[in-house]
Amino acid sequence: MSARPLSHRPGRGSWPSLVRARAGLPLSFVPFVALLGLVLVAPTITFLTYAFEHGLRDWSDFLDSPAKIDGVVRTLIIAAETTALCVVLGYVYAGALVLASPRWRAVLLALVVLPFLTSILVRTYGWIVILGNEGPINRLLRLVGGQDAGVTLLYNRTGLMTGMVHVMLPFFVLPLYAVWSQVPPRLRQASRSLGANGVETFLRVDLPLTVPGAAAGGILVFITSLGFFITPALLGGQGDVMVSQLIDRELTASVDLNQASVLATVLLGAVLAVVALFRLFYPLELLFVQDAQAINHGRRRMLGRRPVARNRQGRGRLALGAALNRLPWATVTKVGGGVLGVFFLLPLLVVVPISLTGESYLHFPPDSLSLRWFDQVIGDSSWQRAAVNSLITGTIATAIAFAVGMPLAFALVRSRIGTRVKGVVMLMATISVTIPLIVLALGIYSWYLDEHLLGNRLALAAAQAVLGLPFLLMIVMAGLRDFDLRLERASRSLGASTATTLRLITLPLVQRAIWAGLLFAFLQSFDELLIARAVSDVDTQTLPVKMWEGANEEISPALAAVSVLSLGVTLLGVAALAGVRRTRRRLP
Amino acid sequence: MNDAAKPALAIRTGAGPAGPRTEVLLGVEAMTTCYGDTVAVQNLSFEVHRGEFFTLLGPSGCGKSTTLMSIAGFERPTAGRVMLAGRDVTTDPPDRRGMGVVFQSYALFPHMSVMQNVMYPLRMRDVDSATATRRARDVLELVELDETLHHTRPAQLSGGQQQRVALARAMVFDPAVLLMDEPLAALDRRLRQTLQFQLRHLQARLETTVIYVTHDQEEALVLSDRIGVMRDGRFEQVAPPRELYERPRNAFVANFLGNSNRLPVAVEQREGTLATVRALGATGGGLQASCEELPSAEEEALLVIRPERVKIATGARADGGGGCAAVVQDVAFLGDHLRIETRILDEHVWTVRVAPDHDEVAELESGSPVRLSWRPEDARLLSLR
Repeated sequence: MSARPLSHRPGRGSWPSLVRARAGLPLSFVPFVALLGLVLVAPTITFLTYAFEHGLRDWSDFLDSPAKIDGVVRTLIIAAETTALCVVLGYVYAGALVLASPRWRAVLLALVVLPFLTSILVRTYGWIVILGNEGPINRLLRLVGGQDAGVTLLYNRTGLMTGMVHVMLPFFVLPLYAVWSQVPPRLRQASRSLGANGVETFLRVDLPLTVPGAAAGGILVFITSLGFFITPALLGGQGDVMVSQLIDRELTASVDLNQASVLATVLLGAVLAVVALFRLFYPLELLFVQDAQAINHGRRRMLGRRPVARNRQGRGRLALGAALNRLPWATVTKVGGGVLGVFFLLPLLVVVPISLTGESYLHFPPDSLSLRWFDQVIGDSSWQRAAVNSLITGTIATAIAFAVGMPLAFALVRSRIGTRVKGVVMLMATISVTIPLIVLALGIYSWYLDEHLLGNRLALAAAQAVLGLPFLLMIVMAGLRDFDLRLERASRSLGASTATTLRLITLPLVQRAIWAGLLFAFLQSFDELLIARAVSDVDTQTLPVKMWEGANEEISPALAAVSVLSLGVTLLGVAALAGVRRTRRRLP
Repeated sequence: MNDAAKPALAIRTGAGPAGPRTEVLLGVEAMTTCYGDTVAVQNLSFEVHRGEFFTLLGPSGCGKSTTLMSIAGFERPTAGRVMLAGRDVTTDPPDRRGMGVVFQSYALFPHMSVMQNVMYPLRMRDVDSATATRRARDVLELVELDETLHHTRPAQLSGGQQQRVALARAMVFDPAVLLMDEPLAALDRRLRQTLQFQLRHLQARLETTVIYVTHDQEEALVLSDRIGVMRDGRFEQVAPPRELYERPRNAFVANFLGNSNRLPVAVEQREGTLATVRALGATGGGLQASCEELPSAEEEALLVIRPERVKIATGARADGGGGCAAVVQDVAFLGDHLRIETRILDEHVWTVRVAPDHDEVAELESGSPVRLSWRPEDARLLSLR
């Protein structure tokens, strides 16, 4: 063997040039900082300025308005109720996922992810059909109990909760299941062999070990629920008005940007307070980093390193456990999981028959079938324009998210920057998930208003790109983390340049993650209503805005047809992604 | 809750005889366990006596772990029964069986300290905290875990320490039977050997009844009173270690426990327990072997002999009669012995093990002609089936 020195050290030279440790790092942050500054920081400063434009006068107006104070309190209560429901139902569903056979687990996971990927407008519309006076539930009740047997499920708290839980439950189930699936089944067996029954095992082994996942999911549900707009507006009644709706009213009815900004500041303040409180126990950026290390880190922070605690309530809990253990919990969980799986699917399924109705009203099941609503929607130039706008805006938003996210993902995974810097960058990149959309929309509206950017398609796409960025970043980073760096080193040692290595080795191997990230980023824009409504005009109006207007004017089956078409786009994307996966698998 | 089902707690003195050694404590009766269409365990029956160390030995997928998990109550047998002290426990849930289980990866609760882990079964049995603490300390001392580690989390312990905690946790409630599923598999070789001896001494001292699962034949030989060698969900042979090694009932057992040389032969003549045989396809005859295990009707068999039982003759003595001519292929020095690979009858590779100071082999090299011989009773004829 010759003693020729290596031309480069394997540790450093093998990284693609665009993410080289030192020079590339600031460079990869530039687009990210620019985007964040333009569509997150500047808008926030703008609406905060409006909130304090007249000193504290708008604030005393706010405090003098019982309706607004009530709205804030009500919003907190509704968010708490939603969270409580999601915790209980989420444990049932995640438990069913844990107990299920691999095949059933795949089905249940698909059922929880599918609504996650579909437009909230579509799903809300589905609930309007199901819960309505002429919906399947009420028609069935009347069939069984006579004409007076109907119940009011829509435009009240029941309808609101149904819709909110349907939207939020996946946000609780997924982080919980990510943690629960890491708990080795052997631990349950060990607990049983040591004399604990099923209930005791759940309480003492599964529950404490899944607290980090449940806390992460619970906090996400709570803060997201605080900013809900579409669901209370379409499914709730007069007594269920939430802060987002109040902000919207100030904007559209009273055209009072100051009052809207005050309310937005209150809402944002509530969210940040909850996040800050929670961060004491669990670093929020770890919500997205669901690897074992993060979970362990979180667990340590959640549970601390307590000394042995003497158990004094052993007897009482044992008796309770024994009493509870009489129920067939495994069966209850599995059945509950199945019911919830149907619950996830129901509003998506129901729009299909409604879109095929021959009538002009919502009646389930439809009395006659026709394609008239599809004909009408497809032939209508305003729907056509909205669809084209959505596709164009979505594509631009995805491209922006890609251009900003890819270098960032490489830099965060590969470069040797400190964990603290990484943590801050991650927090900044994912903060758009925690900020209520109506607050973001108000900020962007007021900022674009000042800068004369309203109606600008590129400006809209940039704002929506910030929503897609966290998803793209998380998914690509996960893919990069799984990537074996030795493959790049092998390529370099065989004579390929950094650029060639990136093109021939790295990108093909992480392309699955990249495609998934792009799909998520696109869907974030494609389904986004509030920012689009605030900053688009007649010419740049997107599909969700048009649907929203349609839903507020008249709930007609035309919307079901649009929903089906919109669902089709989503499913097409998911199917294309599955196709990418399959081709990948065929490679040796 | 049915407290009677959980065994009463008694501090073991370690001295009291727990009854005669012949008392059957655990019985598996005609047990079959299936996963869908796959039969993991097939009509298996065996009995384990009080104080006995019984090992299920076999390659992966032979059904040994399924058997253990069925005894523990984590698998429901498709047919058959599990009897514990004369009582049918086949349908009892695991928490009502009172069997201690040591799992392969230990399954220590990561959110509890060492003490909390060990006290867990006592809490489940409503033992008051003073007694539980004392009892947990005693057991941890028994397994020789340093007291400074009592309040640490399992993740901070080494593999060997985790193993000790897992053992302590499974023993602390004085279970009727201790079930161990490859408890040493994750440890390195040296530590494994140390723990094997400690485990054996502990078991002998406490007279614990143990059912142990392993795929490591050496471990099985070191630890067990009796070994059941399993293949495809059935027993090939159940016997004490020495008997298994010296008198394997078939080729699978002979091969699984230690190394063995094999030669297909035709039986020419039987005389009591000895037979004269001839290698199949060879003209010469006159090889001798024990036919104790060979059914009398069989005319062809497999001659099996351990490498250390083969004698090797070199030089002039290699031309003599008796035994079998062979050619040396390779000689390897392994510290405490020499391993000589030879080829006999141009076809079969036989390994011979000799002491390194064996004079005659000093000159051996690849290609040297030798003669292999053996005492007739050291070579065994086994059924080809």
